[in-house]
Amino acid sequence: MSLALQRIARSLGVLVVVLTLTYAIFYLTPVDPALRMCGKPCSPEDLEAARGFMGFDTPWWNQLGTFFLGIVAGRTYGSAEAAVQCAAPCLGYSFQYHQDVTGLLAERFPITLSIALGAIVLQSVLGIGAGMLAARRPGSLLDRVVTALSVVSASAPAFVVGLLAVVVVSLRLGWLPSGGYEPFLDGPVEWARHLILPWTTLAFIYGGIYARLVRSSMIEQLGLDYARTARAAGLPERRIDRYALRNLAVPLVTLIALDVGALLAGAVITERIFGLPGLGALLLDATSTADLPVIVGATFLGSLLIVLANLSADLLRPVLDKRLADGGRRRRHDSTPSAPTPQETAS
Amino acid sequence: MTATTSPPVETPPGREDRPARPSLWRAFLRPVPLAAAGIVLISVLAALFAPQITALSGNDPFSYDPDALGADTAPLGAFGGVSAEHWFGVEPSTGRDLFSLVVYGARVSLLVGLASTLLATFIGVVLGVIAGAVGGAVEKLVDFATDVTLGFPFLVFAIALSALFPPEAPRALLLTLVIGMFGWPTIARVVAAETRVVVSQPYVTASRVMGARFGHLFRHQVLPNVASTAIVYSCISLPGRIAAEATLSFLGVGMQPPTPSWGRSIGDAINWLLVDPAFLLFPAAALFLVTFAFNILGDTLRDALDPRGGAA
Repeated sequence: MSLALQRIARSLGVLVVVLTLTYAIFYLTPVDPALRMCGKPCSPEDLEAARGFMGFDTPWWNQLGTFFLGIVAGRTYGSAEAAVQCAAPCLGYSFQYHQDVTGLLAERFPITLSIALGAIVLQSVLGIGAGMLAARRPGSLLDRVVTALSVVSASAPAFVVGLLAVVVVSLRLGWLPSGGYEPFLDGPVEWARHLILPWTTLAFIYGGIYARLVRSSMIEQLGLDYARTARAAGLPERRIDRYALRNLAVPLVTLIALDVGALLAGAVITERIFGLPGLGALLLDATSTADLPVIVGATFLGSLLIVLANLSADLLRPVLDKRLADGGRRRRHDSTPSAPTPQETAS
Repeated sequence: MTATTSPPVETPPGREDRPARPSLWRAFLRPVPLAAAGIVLISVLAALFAPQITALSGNDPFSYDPDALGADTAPLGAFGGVSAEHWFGVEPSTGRDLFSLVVYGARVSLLVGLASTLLATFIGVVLGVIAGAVGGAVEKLVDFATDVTLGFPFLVFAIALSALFPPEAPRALLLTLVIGMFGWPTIARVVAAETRVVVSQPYVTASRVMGARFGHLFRHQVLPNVASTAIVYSCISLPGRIAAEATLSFLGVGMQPPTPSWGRSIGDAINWLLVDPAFLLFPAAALFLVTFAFNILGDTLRDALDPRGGAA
């Protein structure tokens, strides 16, 4: 119980530090966000008004405090008749879109989520499946093909694979649309048709790591005593595979959690290739117009997803493997370095 | 190292007669690592001698050649305008020589990739050794800094940062800093774990008892023990950093025109996919081959130096 609380507190701490650093970098540097908001012919009065509207006329610690308070309780930009309400969780107000950042992010998030979720499912299924098949007969042709493919997939940049997929599958063969997004609620089939290429691209890029991990761990597991005993007792190979796979649950959960950051990056890249108006597209727009509130908001959202993924993996691990429920804690805080933990290499 | 059965074939003349050297050499003297080393060598030579090489083809990556373009500014001729004059064809809309762009592109890729890897390795080794050797609150602090760094959505943040810099800022330096600053956590963690083991060894304790200072312990006892790990991890991470530079340039927030960059050429190709997909092929092939080759070399090195293995 207290271990879980400790993990949650730590994640919260990481999030607060990330957000503080981000805020400091983007709002407290010589680049004046108010100047960007004010526009090109900017009179001193307008600049002052912009500063006041965004709350930049107060000391930095006050600004930071207001920013955090806004996330928890919402805030009001400007005053009197020009006031703009920003409900919690308020991440800022975009002067490019004249809309609160939370709303902007919420509009785009389903697209990015669709890409990432589909990719996670596809890459785990393909990667784990390929790894298990390869581990059945190490050194066989199938094994060598899987191993070679996993090295290729680890080296191929996502945008190269995505662009090749567009050129071949969409433009040459005309099998799938080359881009655009159809909302899930307007028709799941069209939604999926538009997302198959992004999903496959990301699954190819990131699935190789799963295949490698599963292959090497399965070979190790299948050589252990319990697998040999099970085989000697006449259990079918598929049953033994299942036992062995259960022992891979912990590293796999860790890997999937670590992949969330990479997937977020992958989503940004695929959105650019396939013309999907998700978070990545919003971020790139915001970068070209120097829309700092949107930029900070997107960074926060990305960080939140990464931290949440790692936290869930941390909380899931003891559930998946009861030995970690207590032992992991003792090992972590025991400073006498008697046993070099083999787990270190897995991260 | 493990006692491998040494076959009586001619081993390269290793000046040190430690058994580690020949096995390391043998690991690289196989067809696939050799081919990878060849690709890396070619890319390094291309980066070093880019002006001389492009001069051979009679082009440079900066001059426009409108004669090579059709009325719709697409390259004239087959396969993206491949000709005796333009070996890889030309860039659509400008007519810049694609062969020169690809050769010069190796400069940015390798420079940013190597420099950011050095930076990340340096930070990682320093923080890792400090955390592992000092322990206690310092270790907790480094651990937390690692978590914070990993808590940043790297690509999102790197894109965001580009909004702060004016177009005339030295992009290669900025990219190196950004990619390097986010690359140290893995190395720091591994080095910290190794350092913890080393400093608990009796010979380190003995040195301490005899009054050895931290600098001595660091140079003569910790560093030699963590060096191979640090080298392996930095080699494994190098292709990822080359890809990171290419990705940022591809998204338009990395290298700015007119500096040649594979990632940016590939990004420009998006607008020409329907007209001229060939424009995509050469820069993409260059980028893929180089990252692939570095991956192979990194894996070979890891397998040779780190017999425990372990993916990731």
